[in-house]
Amino acid sequence: MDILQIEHLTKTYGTGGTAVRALDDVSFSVGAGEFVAIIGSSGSGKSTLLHLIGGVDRPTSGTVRLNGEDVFQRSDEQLAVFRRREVGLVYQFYNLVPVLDVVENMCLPVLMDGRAVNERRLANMLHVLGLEGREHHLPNQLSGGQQQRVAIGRALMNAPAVVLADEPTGNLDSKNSADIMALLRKSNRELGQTLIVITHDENIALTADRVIALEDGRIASDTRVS
Amino acid sequence: MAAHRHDPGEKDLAPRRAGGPARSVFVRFTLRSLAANRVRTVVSVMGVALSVALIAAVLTSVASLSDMLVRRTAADEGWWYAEAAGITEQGLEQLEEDPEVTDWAAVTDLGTVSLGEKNSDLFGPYLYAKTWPAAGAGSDASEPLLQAPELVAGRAPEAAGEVVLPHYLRGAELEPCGISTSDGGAIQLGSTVTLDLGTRTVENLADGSTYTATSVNGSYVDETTQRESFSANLGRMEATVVGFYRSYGFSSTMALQGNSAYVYDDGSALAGALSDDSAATWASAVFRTADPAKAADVAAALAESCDAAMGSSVHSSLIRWMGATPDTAIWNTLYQIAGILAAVVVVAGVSLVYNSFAISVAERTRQFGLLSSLGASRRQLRRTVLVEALVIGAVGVPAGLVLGLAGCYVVFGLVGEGLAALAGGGAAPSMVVSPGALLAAALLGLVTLLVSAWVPAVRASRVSAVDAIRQTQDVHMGRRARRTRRPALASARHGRAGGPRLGLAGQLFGVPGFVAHRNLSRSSSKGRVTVAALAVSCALLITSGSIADVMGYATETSVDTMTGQDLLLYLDATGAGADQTLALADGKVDGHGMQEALASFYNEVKDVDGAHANGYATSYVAEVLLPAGMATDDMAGLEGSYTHLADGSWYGQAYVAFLDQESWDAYVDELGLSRDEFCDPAHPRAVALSAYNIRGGETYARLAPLAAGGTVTSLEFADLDGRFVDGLRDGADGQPEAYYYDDSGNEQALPLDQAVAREQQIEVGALADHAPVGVSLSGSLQLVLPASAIELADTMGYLRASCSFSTDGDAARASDAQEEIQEIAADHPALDVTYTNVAEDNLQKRLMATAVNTFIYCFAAITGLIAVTNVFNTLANALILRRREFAVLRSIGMGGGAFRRMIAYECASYALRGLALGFALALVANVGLYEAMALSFSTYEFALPWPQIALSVVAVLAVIAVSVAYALRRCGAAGVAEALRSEVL
Repeated sequence: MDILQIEHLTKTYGTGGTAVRALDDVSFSVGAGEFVAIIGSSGSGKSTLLHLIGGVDRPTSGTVRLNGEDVFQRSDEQLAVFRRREVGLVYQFYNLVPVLDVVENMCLPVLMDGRAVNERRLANMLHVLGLEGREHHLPNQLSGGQQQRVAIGRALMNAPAVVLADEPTGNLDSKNSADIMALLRKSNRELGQTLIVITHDENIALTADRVIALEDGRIASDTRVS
Repeated sequence: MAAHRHDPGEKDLAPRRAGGPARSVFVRFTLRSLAANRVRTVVSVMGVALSVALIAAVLTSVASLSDMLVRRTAADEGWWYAEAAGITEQGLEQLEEDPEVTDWAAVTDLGTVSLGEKNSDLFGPYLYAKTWPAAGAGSDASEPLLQAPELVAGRAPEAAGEVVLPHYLRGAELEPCGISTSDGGAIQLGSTVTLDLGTRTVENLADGSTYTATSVNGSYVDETTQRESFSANLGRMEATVVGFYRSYGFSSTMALQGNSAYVYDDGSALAGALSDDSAATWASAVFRTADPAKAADVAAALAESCDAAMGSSVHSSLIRWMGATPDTAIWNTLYQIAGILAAVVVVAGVSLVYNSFAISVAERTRQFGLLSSLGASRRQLRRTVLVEALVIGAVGVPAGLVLGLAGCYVVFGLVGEGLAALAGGGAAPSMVVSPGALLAAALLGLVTLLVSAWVPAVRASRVSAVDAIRQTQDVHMGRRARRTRRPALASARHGRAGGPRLGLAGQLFGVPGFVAHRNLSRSSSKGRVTVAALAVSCALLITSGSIADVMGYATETSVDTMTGQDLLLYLDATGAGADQTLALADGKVDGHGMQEALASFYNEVKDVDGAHANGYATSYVAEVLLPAGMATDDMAGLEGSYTHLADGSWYGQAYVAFLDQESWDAYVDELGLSRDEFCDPAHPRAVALSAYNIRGGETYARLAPLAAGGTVTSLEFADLDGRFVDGLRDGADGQPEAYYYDDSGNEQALPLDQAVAREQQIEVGALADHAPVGVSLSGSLQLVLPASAIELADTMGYLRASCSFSTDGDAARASDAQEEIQEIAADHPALDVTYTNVAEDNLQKRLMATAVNTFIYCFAAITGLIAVTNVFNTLANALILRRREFAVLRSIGMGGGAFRRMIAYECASYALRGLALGFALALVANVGLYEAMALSFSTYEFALPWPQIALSVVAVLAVIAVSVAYALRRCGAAGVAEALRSEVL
C-alpha cells in the first residue's frame, strides 16, 4: 500500500523573469516501509521536494497525500501538528535548538504535542543513539556525529510514519556517516518506518530500496535496487 | 590593539597597504552588508545623527545664550575687556604698542567741582569734570568700548565749550558753589555755567599723610580719622549746558565712576591731564584685546604704569560670558550644564550604536570566519568594521549637524522671548552658529561611533575560521543554569535518564513557556542587553518627564503667588516723592490724614479702565502683649521674637493691616461673621490670622499660633535715656520687665508699667485661616482691622500702604492702568506712589518657564527617542538572529499559536525585568531630584511620577510590540524552508 502519493508537484520561487521552477510536475508514490534515496545535482530540486513532503513549505501546485490525506488541505496550525506527528526531519546541519540540551531537544516534538514523554522509549533511544551520559549536554558541547544522532533521535521520538533526511551524512566523516545510516536503516527495518533520504553518496544510494534521480526539477529516473 | 600585538607575524602576512582591489573588496563587503541590513543601518545612522544633533543643539544653544549675555552685558557696560585707571604716559605708550590690544578709548578727569556744604544734602558734595566717552581708536561703532551715559534731555557735547550734567541738576537752583549759571538762575538746557575745577585732599589725622581723592577712591572718607579739604586750584571752565544724563553715581568702569559733568573732548584733554603734575587730573584707558582671555595679562602688565590708588581691572562680568574668566576655576555654568547634557547624550548614543555594531558583528560571525579562512588578517577584519562605522558617520554626522541646527532654529524661534526673560529682559537671543560647537559635536559624534565600533571590531577580528565554519552558536551557561543542571547530570550518571523537566514556566505555559524559559536562562547574556536597553529607556523616560515636571513646578510656584493682583501700588507719605504734609516726627505718619488721603486717591483710581481695584490696606507694626490662653506654643515659630512670659502671656511683634471699609465688609462677609458685630465703628473688632506657612532655612512648617480670640494690648514704650527697649522678660519678682542696653552693652531693666508710655486694647473678635486680598503675610502675627479703627494705630509704627488692581493677568492692561493712575497720582502730592506690574513679571516668568520647559522637553524627547530606538534595535535584532532556530522549531511542529506564546513569554520577561530595573533607576533619580528640590522649595511634596511611569510603560510596551512584529515579519518573510536552507552566510 502506498503511504505517500505525490501528484503533479510544482514549486516556483519568485515571479516574472526571475522565477525559478525548482520542481516541475513531479509525481511518484512511496510504499509503507520503503527506503527511498533521492539523488541529483545541486539545484535539481531535492531539498524543495523534501520540504514539501515534510509540510515545511507549500507547493505552487500539486498535492502530497500521506495515508491518503492531502497534506496541504490543512491549515498552518494543522500543518504544524502534521509535522510533529507524521514526519521526522533530519538535516545536514543538524538544526538543534542551541539552548536546549540533548534530552530536551529530542523530546521537543512530544512535548509540543502535549503528551508525556515515554521514559522507556527515551532511555532506549539514548542507548541506541549512543548518547548515554550526554543527556544534559548542550548542542555546542557535542561533536558533529553526536549532534546528528540527537537530530535523528528528535525525528524518531514521535514514531512518525515517514522519516525525511536531507543529506544527513553530508557533514560527517565516513565512520560517523556509516553509524548514522545504520541507525536510519535500523529504524526503517525494525519499526517499518518509511525513509526518504537525499544523498550525494552513491554507497548510501545503493543501500536503498529505490533510487529517484532528479534533474532540473523533474524525475530523470526511478530505479528499484534489487 | 591588544589582539594586534599578540600576532607578531600579522604585519608581514597581511598586505601592509591593501592595494586597490584588495582594499576595495573589504569596502565593498562593508557596503554590501550595510545595504543588506538596511533597517539596522538606518538605526545606526539615526543613533549617530540624533546624538550629534543633540550635542550640536546643546552647544549652539549655549553659544547663542552666551552671545546674548555678552551683548546684554556689553549694552549696559560697554565692550571693554580691561581698564587701566590713572594711567601714566609711559603706560599709554605701552598700551598703544601692545600687539594684543585691538582698540582703546580714554576718559579724562579734568578736576573736581565742589557743590558746597549747602547743596550736598540734595545733590551730593562733588561733580567730576570728565570728557564725554567717545568711540576709541580703531573701535567698531556697533560695539563701543564704553556705553555713553543715557541722556534724559538734550544731546551729547559735540563741540568745545559744551557740557552735559546729571539729571538731578536739571532745573536746580544751587546755593553759591563751584558751579554757577551766568544769570544766577536755575540750570536749564542752554544755560551757561561756570565750573570751578579743583582738588580734593584727604588728610589722615593719625600721621598727617595726605592723598588726593578722586571719583574712584573718594566716596569713603572717615570723618573720625580723616579730614578733607578742597581747593579750587585747577582753573575755571565756562560751558553751555546741552544735555542732562541719568546719573547713577556708579559705573562698572572706574572711568565713568561718580557723578560727572561731561565736557567735549577736543583731543587735548588726555595729554594735558597726563603731563600736568596734579593727581586730581587723571585718565583711564579702557581697551579690548584680540583674545578676551589675554585681557587680564595685558591689564596686569599695565598696572605698574598706573596710579597705585586706582590700577587696572578686568571686565569680568563681560568676558566671563566669553568663557574667559581670569579665575579659571570658575567655569561658566552654562558650559557645565552643556557638558553634563552632552555626556548624557554620548552615553545614550554609545549604548545605541554599540548594540547596533555588536549585533552586526554577531550576525556576520560566519562571514568573518570565512574571510579569516580565506586569509584576511585581523587588521583587515577590524578595519572592515571600522569602515562600516565611518560610512555610518559620514552620513549620520552631517545629518545630525543639520538636524541640530534646524531644531535649534525652531526652538529659539518659539522660546526666544522666554530666554531673554530668563537672562533678565531685553532682546531675544539670535542663534549663533559657532564653528567650534559644530566641530565639537561632530567630533563627539565620531568618538561615540568609534568607541561603539571598537569592541565589536576587535571581536570580529578574533573570530577563528574553524569556529565560524563549524557554525556553533554561542550558548554560554550562566552560573545559575549550571547549578540547576547538576542534579540532572548526577541522575543521568546513575543511569536514570528521565524526561526533561518542564519547570514552573513549562507547567504554567506549556512547551512555549518551557522553550522560552530555557532561552532566557541559558542565553541570558543576550537577554541582559535587551533588559538593560529597556531599563535605560524606561528610566530616561520617567526621569526626563519628572525633571520637566519639577522645572514646571519651580516656575509655576513663582508665578502663581499673586493671583488677582496684577498691578501693585505702594503708597508712602514719608518718602522723597511725597510732599511730607502727612509725615510726623520719627518717621511716623498722620494716621487719620493718611486714611483720608488714601480714600480720596482710591476713589479716583478705583474705576480706572480695564482694571478691577482690590481695595487698599495700610500696614503698621505693633508691639503686642497677648493675654494668657490666647496663644499656643506655635507662636514661638513666628517671626518677631516672641517671648513667653511666666504669667502665660506672650510678647512680640504683630503686623496690623487697616482695610478700606468696602474690603473690610467683604472680608467680614467672606468669613461668615456678623456685620453688626464687626462693622461697628464705635466698637472695632479685629480679625487675627491663625494659620501660617513658615519656612525657616530648609524646613517648612504650618503653624497655628492662636487658640482663641481675646484682647491684645498694643504697647508703646518709653525710651530710657534715649535708648529704645530691647525686649520683655520675667523680672526677679516674677513680674514682666522691659530691658534696655546702653552703648557699652550694659543692661538696664524697668518694670513693665514704667516702661510703657502708652497702650491700647485691641479686641480680637475672630480668627481666620486666610488673609484678605491685598494683605500678604510677612511671617509675623497678622491682625486685620477696618480703616475706621485707625486710632488704634497711634501706638504702632507705620509701615506702608498698598493697593492692588486685577487685570486678569493682562500685562498690557496693567501697564495702561498704571499710566492712568500715574496721572491721577500727580494730583495727590502727599502720596509717593511706586508701581509694580506683577502681571508683567508673571508674563516674564511664564515665558521663562516655557523656554526652560521647551528645552527640557526637547532634550527628554530626543533622549527618549534614542533610548526607544535602542530597544527596537536590540530586541528586533536579537529575534532576527534566531531566525534559523525559529524555523527549526516550526519545522519540527511548533504551531503558530505556540510560537507566538513563546515569543510573548520571552518579551514579557524582558519587559518585566526591564521595567522593574528602570523603575528602580528612575526612583533613585527621582529621590535625588526631590532632595534637590526640597532645598529650595519646601512645599514640594514627594510623589511618584505616575503619569511618567504610565507613559514609559506604554512606550516600552509599544516599542516591544513594534520590534517583535517587525522582527517576526522579517523572520517569516522568507518562509521556514528558506530559513532552514540558509547557511547564515
